[in-house]
Amino acid sequence: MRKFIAILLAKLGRFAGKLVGKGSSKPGYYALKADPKILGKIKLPPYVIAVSGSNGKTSTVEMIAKILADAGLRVAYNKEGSNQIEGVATLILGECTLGGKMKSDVLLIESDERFARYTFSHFRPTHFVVTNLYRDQLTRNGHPEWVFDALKEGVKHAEKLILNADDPLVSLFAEGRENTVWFGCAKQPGSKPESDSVYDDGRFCPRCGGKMRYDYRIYNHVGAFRCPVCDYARHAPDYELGKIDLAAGSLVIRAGEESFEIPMENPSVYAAYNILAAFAAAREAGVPGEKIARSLQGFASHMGRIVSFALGDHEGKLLTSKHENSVSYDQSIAVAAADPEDVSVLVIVDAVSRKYFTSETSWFWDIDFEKLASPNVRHIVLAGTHYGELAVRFSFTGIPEERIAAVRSIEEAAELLKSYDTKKIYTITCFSDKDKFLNLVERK
Amino acid sequence: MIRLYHLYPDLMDLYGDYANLLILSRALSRAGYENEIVKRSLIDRFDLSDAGFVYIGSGRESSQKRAMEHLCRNRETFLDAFRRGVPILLTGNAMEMIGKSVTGKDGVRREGLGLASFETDEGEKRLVSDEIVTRNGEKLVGFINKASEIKGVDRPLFHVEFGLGNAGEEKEEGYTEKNLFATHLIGPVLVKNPAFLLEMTSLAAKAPVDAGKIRDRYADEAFRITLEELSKRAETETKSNI
Repeated sequence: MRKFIAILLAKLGRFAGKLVGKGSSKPGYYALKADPKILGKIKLPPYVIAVSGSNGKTSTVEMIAKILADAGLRVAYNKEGSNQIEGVATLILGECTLGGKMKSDVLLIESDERFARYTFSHFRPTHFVVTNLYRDQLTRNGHPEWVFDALKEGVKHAEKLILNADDPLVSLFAEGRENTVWFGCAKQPGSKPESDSVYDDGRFCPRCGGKMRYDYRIYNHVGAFRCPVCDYARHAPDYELGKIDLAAGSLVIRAGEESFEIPMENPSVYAAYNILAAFAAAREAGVPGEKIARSLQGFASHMGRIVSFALGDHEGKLLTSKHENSVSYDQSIAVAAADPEDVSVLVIVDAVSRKYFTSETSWFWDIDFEKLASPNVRHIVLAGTHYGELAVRFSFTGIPEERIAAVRSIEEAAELLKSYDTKKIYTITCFSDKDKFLNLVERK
Repeated sequence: MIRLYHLYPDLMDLYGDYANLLILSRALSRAGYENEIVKRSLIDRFDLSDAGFVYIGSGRESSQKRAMEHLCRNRETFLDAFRRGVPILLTGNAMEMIGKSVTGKDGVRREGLGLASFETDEGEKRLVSDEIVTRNGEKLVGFINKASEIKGVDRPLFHVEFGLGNAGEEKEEGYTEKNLFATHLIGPVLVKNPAFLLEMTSLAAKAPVDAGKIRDRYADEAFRITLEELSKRAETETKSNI
């Protein structure tokens, strides 16, 4: 009876939510109130795929969903991004019969790293994909090792793990268990064994604390690692990224004897890993390689990470990053620095937290702003409430002072950009701050 | 030549801690003092006899245990620098290492340096807060992100106006004795607080340094805005508690 009431509540809630045009995790919240064990009582589909990690969860889930749907499967997934247990409950109960049987063929869950242990204490995923673990919103999540400890509880009951072989911390999830599938990246031209980031989270072996060595690194601590002390080392990948061609926007995935070339909408190594993770998950769920490759041809992310705009007679792109996540900034900086044309770069840090002003800005010092010393970056403008501390951070980058301007007001920053001869602009900021800039420009 | 020792920069590096030494080194240079940053960690020979300043930042709980064990093996070297009055700054959970013990969330109690008599207990929850603290009537701003509580501090460094203290809602934060300054505030504390930077610069220089020489208008502006914004929050959040 409780089960029935819980399902009914979730369905009514979801219906009401749709009427007012709001997707939220409230229906799941009420259902869990009515029956805290409801998730354990639902008949789940044969494939329950969970995806977690610091970065790339949403795009990986979007890709897996598209591939599986293209293959004719009915996929239920949390597209609204409500990735905590209430959101997952809303999804599951919304997609099941009143008798408690899910109508889909696949349940695909983007899971918050910290809450996976609660969600998966009620049911087991058949496949658990972990994309990566690195410094992301330390105020909310804690450092990567802390996140690892929390996520471990959620991961351990999964039947099969699909892990990033190049991430030493992620690889540790496979310790003491079987049935792990690995994805990783082959050595790329120019990839080096040393870290070229501001900080190095791959310095010490996560298993024994010994000093690690890398044959090559793809980015930060992600690469072909090995610990000479305890012999903990990268596993040979079952799914491997061959050549990543950033200029042409394509990559090659090798799986056993097969090899597939796949185009990338917004080429970056980070995006390449997400595509690889999605490929591995879909292949493990039984979709043939050619079908996956074909599905990914037409894939366009719904996330709108890149927004094109015009500002006067200047043209630009806003590269959405994430405050308190240095890797996402590094990713955007790499795009601006690699542009063959001369560019201006605007960095906005206005509100780090959406709820209140916070003085936690230590992550400025984790971002590789030094890369903006690239000669094609003619002007750098720093703006938003935190412009002062950003300016101090930039004063240590070695970038000539005359290239840098710092103003609090985003309007003033836009005026400055308009006054420069450099016609191409990159704006780097968080999704939470981006509208403050986009409201001042013409979106294209 | 003033030698600024950064201990365990590879282990205790979680919150852009290195920025404290960059800004201190620059301030000393601007004030006319030649200086260099010297990095020392687990595998290095440990000698602080020529130290003009010592700094340790925050790390993962596991890294802190490794650094602490190493520091304890070099106890006399560190204590000697402390007794000689070498300025020492510890931020984040580096502070915990100088106490009597740190008990991990695994329940294991590990010996600390024993320079101070306080004890640390780690827990399952992270305690996170913005901070406004005062020292000699001057305000400082910062942030705490820790998984522990420290009990038995008899010489606090700061009075807490807004945020967390050494344990829970306690109004006292940090530890100070002679020229040692320990606080659980994380990251670039000296970047965020120009007045504290001036104090540390003068201590490292062993002479009062002229504030005008090391002034950075952007750092001043960042401090002003941060204090203003946090004070607004402090006011509304106190009101909502009544």
